[in-house]
Amino acid sequence: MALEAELSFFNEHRDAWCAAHEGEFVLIKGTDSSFFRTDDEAYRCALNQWGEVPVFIRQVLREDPTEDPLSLIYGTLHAPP
Amino acid sequence: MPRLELSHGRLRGNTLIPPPDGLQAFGPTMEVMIGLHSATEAKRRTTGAALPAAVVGKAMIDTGATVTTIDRPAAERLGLEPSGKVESFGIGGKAVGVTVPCSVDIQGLGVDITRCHCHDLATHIQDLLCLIGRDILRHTVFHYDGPAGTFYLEIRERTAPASLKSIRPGKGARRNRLRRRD
Repeated sequence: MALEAELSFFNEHRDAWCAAHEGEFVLIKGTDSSFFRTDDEAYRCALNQWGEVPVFIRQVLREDPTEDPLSLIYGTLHAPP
Repeated sequence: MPRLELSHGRLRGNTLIPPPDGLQAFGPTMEVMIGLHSATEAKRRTTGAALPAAVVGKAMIDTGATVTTIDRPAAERLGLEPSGKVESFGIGGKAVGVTVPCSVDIQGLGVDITRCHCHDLATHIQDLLCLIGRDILRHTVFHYDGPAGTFYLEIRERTAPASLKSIRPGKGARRNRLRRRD
């Protein structure tokens, strides 16, 4: 599955990266990593360097924020009245 | 500042549902276009790669959503490569999904999103293309008038950070029942 290795690499290095780069955005391709102020900057760098290929961009945080739309999870997006 | 006002009189079959009921039943929805992130489009232009037409469909403003989500088939139609991997929670439990770079054109106001979540939205609501989350709403004033059955969305360009790209004129056709104020 795409980006599985990058996700594992991120989780392995998360604690170390938080010490120096917490809040920044990491760009990972294979085992290459670089850090940016914004995810937009990271994406543009990835495009310039590798073209349009799967890349892993994630904000370096100690815990991942909850980003799931709860209305989708609990089925209240279009619940009958 | 650009402002979009919409009212929600709706048809259910041949019956007109008045705006307050229509807004409650169908939610604050609008037509949007999902297209290529501006950086992706620029890259494809230089390489001569395909520039697919934007996908047009229905979006709902979801103040309960941290991030904006697009329908997964739309991302596939645009040929979007993943920009990240995320763990998501669904009714069936935890699942792993991807994010993609794209642009969301809200009735003439285009916003680039580098890490837009993908889900099978249309399986939940027919023809639902996009859930507009708080990553876009943080740069807007969203006014919801329940008794009147209207809402408006005003984008505050000054607060938009570089990561959300600049607000740029959209490319699609507009519905004539929208009122846009600058």
